[in-house]
Amino acid sequence: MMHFEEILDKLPRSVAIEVIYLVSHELTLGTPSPLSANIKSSALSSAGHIQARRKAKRIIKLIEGQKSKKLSEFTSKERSAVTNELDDYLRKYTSHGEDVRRRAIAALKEINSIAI
Amino acid sequence: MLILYSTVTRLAYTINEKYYGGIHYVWCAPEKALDPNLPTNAVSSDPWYIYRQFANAVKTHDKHDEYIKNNRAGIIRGAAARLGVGMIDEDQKNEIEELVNMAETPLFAPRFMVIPYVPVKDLVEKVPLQKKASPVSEEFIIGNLPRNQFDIWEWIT
Repeated sequence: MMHFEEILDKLPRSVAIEVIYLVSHELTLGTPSPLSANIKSSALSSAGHIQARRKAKRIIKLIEGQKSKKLSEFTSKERSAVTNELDDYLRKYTSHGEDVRRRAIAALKEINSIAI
Repeated sequence: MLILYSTVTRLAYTINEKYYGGIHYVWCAPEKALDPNLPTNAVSSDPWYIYRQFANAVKTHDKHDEYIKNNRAGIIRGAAARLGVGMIDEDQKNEIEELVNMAETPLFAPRFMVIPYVPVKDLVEKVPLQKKASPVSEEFIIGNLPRNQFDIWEWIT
């Protein structure tokens, strides 16, 4: 367990989501990435953007420190363990109760029926 | 440069169509150089590589695939950004987040986007050299690409 909650739980929701996205992208695709390219999301203020980048780098450092190696050297199993945890956090920040869930199920049915 | 390419999942594509009025946020790359001596893009900006990763995840029904998890995070981030510019409201953003969390693996099937460059050249942003991890990588962002400016196809593997 990486214990991201110490970092993520103190952040505003939108910043926490951005951090998860940035770290997840880095783990999946490496660089170039939104983190290295410094591309700001319009969901955040400049201060929020800076905070998200800083926290994402902190999490990456934490992960690398725990494994004593660079992110790029992680095995697929190690990547998967981290992204599973990030995925759990993402769900925590993006769950919205029964009403929204009902609407989302209806939307999903519609999306499933669209052939592209 | 004639054409830009990108890979999009069915889920991302249909959300763009349904919630953002057919406006797509696209990371894309130009056609591969025919000269083998020229550098190629890193995998994160290689649409062909990304397509194969998604196709494989769907084929093997891999619910825990890294690309799928990353795509979920990307779509959710995108919804927050679209809310930030007033394209959707809070209810719609919540609905997108919820449906992305519930979406099953087949909705992450990839589709290839083919974008003729000339008609969209004014919409294309090049990632500045000093901000790129790899100076040789060619990557572009189109923040608001209308549906009538690209074609989409499925590569049967």
